[in-house]
Amino acid sequence: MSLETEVKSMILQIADRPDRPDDLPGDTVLSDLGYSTNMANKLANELQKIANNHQTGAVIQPGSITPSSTVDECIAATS
Amino acid sequence: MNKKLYLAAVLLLAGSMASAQTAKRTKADSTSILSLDHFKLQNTFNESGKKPSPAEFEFTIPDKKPKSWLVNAGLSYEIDQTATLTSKIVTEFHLNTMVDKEQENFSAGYAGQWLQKDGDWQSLVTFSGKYGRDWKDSTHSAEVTGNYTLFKSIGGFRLNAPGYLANDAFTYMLTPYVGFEYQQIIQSGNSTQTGAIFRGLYNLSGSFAINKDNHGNLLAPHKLIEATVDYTGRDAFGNGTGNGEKGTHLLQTGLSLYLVDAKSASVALGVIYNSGSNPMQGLKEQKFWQMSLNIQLM
Repeated sequence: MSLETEVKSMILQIADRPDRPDDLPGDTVLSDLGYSTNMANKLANELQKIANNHQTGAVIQPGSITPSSTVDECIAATS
Repeated sequence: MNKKLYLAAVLLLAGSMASAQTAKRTKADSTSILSLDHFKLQNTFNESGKKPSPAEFEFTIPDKKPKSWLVNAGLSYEIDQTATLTSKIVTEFHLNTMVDKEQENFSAGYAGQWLQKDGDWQSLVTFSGKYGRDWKDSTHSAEVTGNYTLFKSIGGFRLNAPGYLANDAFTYMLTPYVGFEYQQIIQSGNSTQTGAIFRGLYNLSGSFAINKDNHGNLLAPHKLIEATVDYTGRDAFGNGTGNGEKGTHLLQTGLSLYLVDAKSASVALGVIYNSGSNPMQGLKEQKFWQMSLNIQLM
């Protein structure tokens, strides 16, 4: 699974939305998926694990993923 | 009354600034020290993993009858965030002259939240240390609170995160917690009121909404009507004051009809029933209904 698909799938899983990563536009704002601040913090932690697994060297800074972040910003932070 | 009006005006102005921030937050914003993104305006910060309730402002200034006020507003400024800990400076003001027993209470201090980093079931702890002022009881207090709950946003059953049922027909959110309140009344107009009160508390709360047809959309469904229940039981098992407080409870139920729930704004007609008291916020034992039109711009 590509990093982009894995990130989108995790975003949808935490939001309790159907697992259709290919249908998730990059400009979608997390709050439109029902994200709260705690859910965004949970996502940041899971994105760090994805970055580590893919050995991208990315470090997700605390507070950098928020409900107003976009899907593309999450992918960029993980890459 | 003038200084209270100034306080309400400052909260309102700061809230306007906070809500005027742009919807998208860049990485640069999140690291700047005085960014408006660090401000949040909401009803209260004495909650655990709940979705924040909007601040309330309402007043009437009749020509010949007494003025009436309703202000339930809290303003926070985020000072630090690590992978697990969020620290804020918070201030709250609760003024309600529209009920039988009026409420006039202010607090300010530090509030933090710790969210366990790993696991499907994550511990969520909120805590605060504040100065409290109650004009109705003429008291000055030092207040320490702590709440504990669990956070689960992966898997079937969810806690402190919204979940969807029956192909998005319904939204539910369960937000219970347990906690304590330590209130040291330092100074009071009545000398028998000074001393320490230690309260244990539990909260059972949640919401259930009927949604509009989402047509298989990936975005979260829009709500049509939402019911909320919030019950808090408190036991003052250590009370060194002479105020006689023992067990108290607070039941707040609400029903919201969403007239508009769009991407850019939501408008809801809400009715709330309140029964009981919240000693720390100066809400005396009483029952009342409150209706409001709630407008939120995204």
